[in-house]
Amino acid sequence: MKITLLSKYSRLGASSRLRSLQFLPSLKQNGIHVTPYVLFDDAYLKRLYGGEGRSLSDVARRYTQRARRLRRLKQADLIWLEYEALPYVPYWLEHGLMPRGVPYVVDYDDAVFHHYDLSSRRLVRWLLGRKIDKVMANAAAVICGNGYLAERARNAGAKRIERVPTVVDADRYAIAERTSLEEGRSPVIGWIGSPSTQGYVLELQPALEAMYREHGARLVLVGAQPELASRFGELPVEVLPWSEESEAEAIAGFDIGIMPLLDGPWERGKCGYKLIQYMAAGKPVVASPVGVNVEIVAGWRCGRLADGQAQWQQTLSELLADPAERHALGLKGRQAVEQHYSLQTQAPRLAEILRSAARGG
Amino acid sequence: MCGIAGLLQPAPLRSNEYAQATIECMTVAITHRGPDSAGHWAEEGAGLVLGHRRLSILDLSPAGHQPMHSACGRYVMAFNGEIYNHLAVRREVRGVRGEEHQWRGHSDTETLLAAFSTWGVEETLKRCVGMFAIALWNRKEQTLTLARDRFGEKPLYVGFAQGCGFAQGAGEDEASVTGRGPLLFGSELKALMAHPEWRGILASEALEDYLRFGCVGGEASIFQGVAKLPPGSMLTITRADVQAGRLPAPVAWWSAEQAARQAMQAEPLHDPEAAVSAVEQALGQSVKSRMQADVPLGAFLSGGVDSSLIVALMQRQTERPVRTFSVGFDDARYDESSHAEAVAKHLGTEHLTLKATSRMALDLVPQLPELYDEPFADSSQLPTALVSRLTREHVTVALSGDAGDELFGGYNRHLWVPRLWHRLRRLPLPVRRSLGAALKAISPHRYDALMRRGGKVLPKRLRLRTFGEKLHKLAAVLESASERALFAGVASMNREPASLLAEPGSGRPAEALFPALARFDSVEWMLLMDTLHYMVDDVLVKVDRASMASSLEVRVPFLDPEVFDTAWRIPADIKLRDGQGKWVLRQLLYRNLPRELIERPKMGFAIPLDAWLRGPLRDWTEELLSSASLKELPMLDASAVRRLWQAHLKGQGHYAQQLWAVLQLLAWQRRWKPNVA
Repeated sequence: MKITLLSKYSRLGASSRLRSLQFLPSLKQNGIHVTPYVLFDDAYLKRLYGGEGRSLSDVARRYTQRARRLRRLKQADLIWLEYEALPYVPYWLEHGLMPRGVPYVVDYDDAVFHHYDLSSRRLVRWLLGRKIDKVMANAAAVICGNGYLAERARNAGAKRIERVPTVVDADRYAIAERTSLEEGRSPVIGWIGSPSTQGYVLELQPALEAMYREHGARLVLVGAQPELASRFGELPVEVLPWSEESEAEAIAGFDIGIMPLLDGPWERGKCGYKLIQYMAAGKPVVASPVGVNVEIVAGWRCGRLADGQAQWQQTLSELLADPAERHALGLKGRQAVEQHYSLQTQAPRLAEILRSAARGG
Repeated sequence: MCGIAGLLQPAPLRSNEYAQATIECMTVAITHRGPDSAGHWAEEGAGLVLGHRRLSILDLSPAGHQPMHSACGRYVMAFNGEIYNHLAVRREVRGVRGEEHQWRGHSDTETLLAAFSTWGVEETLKRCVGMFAIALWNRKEQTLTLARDRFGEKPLYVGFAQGCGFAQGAGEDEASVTGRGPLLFGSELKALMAHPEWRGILASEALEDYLRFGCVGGEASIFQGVAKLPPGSMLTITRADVQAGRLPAPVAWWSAEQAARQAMQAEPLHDPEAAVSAVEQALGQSVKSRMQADVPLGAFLSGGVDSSLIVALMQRQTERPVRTFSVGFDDARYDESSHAEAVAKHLGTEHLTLKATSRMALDLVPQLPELYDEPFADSSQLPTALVSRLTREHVTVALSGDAGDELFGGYNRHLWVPRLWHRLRRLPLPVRRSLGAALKAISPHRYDALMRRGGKVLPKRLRLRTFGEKLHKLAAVLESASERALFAGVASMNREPASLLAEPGSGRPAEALFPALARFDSVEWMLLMDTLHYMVDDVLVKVDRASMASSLEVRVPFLDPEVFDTAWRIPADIKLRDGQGKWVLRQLLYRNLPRELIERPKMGFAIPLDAWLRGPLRDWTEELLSSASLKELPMLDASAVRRLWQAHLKGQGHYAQQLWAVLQLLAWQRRWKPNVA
């Protein structure tokens, strides 16, 4: 079976890597051949993350490429779309460019529809506010990373909705044997993410400072901008650069993994990927009770939920003082990953979803 | 497989947001039962919320999404389970309603709803074959109906957030479910406990039977004002019931006793060959219908009679090798995996021996209260949880050989009790009592030592591993006043549970749980009692919680109404024949496997609990038996418990099972912190 994947980014973009590209080898083993076409490649992302911004002509060139690609997809058994084919292009135009008679599935791991329906610009809201709902309604299947996204698809009248969590390759993470701290090593509260989400950690500064005073806990931030360290004042902060190869090793050095979030429509659409990474490494997690975090943490009992500075402070303090509990929670997290949040368990499901969508239901 | 939860309030819901937040708390608590999706539905004015968690590879939504509405608009349902014959039921619905009914999808949930609209609830359930727990809201009548499958494969708890009184059921007047606040229900107690108004008070009345059998049996639950819906029954609740704080009694839509009686009155299968063929036909059909799945499917294979037979029948259904799984232990005494491998090789399955270590089982011990949110102390829960977890790495659905023993007479007691009683009853009770005392004069471990030395001269099937314990059981047997008492004693893990309680026990003899039944001979009576009690309260609870903790669906082909009917048409003397239990199943198996692969002593899923408590679990045990810990449950007699522990440590008896029950209770208390009245 031949599937054309239209992803937004290349491997450097977390969503594309995790939602689709990492599945390709397993799908191939299942007899599903996927040809990926990216809208924005690594070079584009590097410039963007480096703060150079977008060049309009570059974006136009990429859109033209994608539009041409769409015209050539008549032979595919199925199109696998990430969010939409052409961001910020109205539905009628995008729909007109899509090849007739080829079913598509569309995948969401973020509330991208809020780019449009919650946009500050009236024109965007007017022109695009319901675009994603239409994309969802016309898909053979909508694949959603969490319940919030699935609810949107349901309200949009999607024909079929499948919840597939964002997963890790369980084999890439090993559980460290260490259960208590070696002599003299201070405990590490760790966070992994990208510059776009680092602000949430900064909000926790008072609680984290208290942990430093009470337990000597250090903060390690993987993937944040190096300048962020200086904004924490006295608190010792280590910022490690992110790379796909080193992330598992970096998390292995954590004692607790955290995922603070503010409550908002965007945050409810998130898929809790960093929690799943911490869990894969057998680390206990502490997270804000927002969106899918509740299901992951409370549902699998692999950590604690904390709301507000006082609760964060109390929860972190309790866990830092109790290595046995940290270990037990970490094991449960790892088990949840092996059972549900891993490439190994979700790849066969995804294969089945794609196959039946191509068959027409 | 899935989980359900919900609530019915005495007053209308405050808001939709409140309903959503509350049901989310409840369903998140049972995420493991269905991690793939969640749904809920509320009728604010009626104070009703239904929630659902789903485990599936394909969610054919919105057609398959739950809670689901019936096409007629009258019903909304949260459904946990599988209806194996749902396509046949759908055809019947079509027969009645023709093309008038518009089908939206292919799910059994939709079939059920259409059938409810056609025939009503009770009639529909009678037509369905499957395992299920149902919460059905009738929008027109404003009633909530809860229902459970025939044998109790899928669990369903129901009770008040502020429950009071012991919900023992069994038709006793003062024993109905009472309490205040919203009525809660769910697949597991965790879901009820997650409700913000939950106040669960420990039902100390449940403890005596818990310590006796190692599980909270019957309709009772460990909490006051919370009950289990009995197998084969349904319960219809109105808001007036919730406001009054008292639930009506459940109504049986199917009864194992009645079904057994009907089968016994039908034409009996006197001819052994005919009996074997009838079972082959019924069980084969049951296996076939349970192999329908759109997800990877396999089977547990221990190498014993029941699982081997199920696998043999599965293999007949398909060209491709069936995937089978067994668990191999690093402790050779408990390792059955080589038997399973031999059987698998002969049947040509794709077999995998999952390697488990004692360490893995031991690591699981602290997690048990999480899996079993009601105290549960059948130590084979550990290997069952392990094999489920390891199997889930490969398949989503597994068939098992459970219930073969209860239907076809597989427990040693089915053979021994009638024989013994036949001889014993000639002796006057005082004589028997003194004989019993004499047998008890030697401690079980001495007997075991004798068996180790002298056992080599005995034929294989008589080399019993727990010889001493069995002899002590025999002593107790001698002291029994009636055959019912004898059975009750043999079925107990602790014959004197009240000795561990601070207050005097109920004084109720154990046999009170097992009522005498006219026209059942002693073997038939035992089989029925095991089906109604041990299987429902222990075996099926163990399998459901262990498998659902790993999001694995287990299907049990023996638990099928046709198989049940066939089993009960076979006279007891054919079930137990040539001094062997499960004679019919063995004959059927011999048609597929050489005898030598099967003839060996029954091992079961055992673990070396005795040695573990003295060894690797000693610290865990000591800590749980500390004064501080025992103080949390003042209804236990702390000094009696500690005396039992000391006796076990010194090897003065086999008290591991009895201690295990106490330890699981304490560990459960620590995890869930019930209110102690």
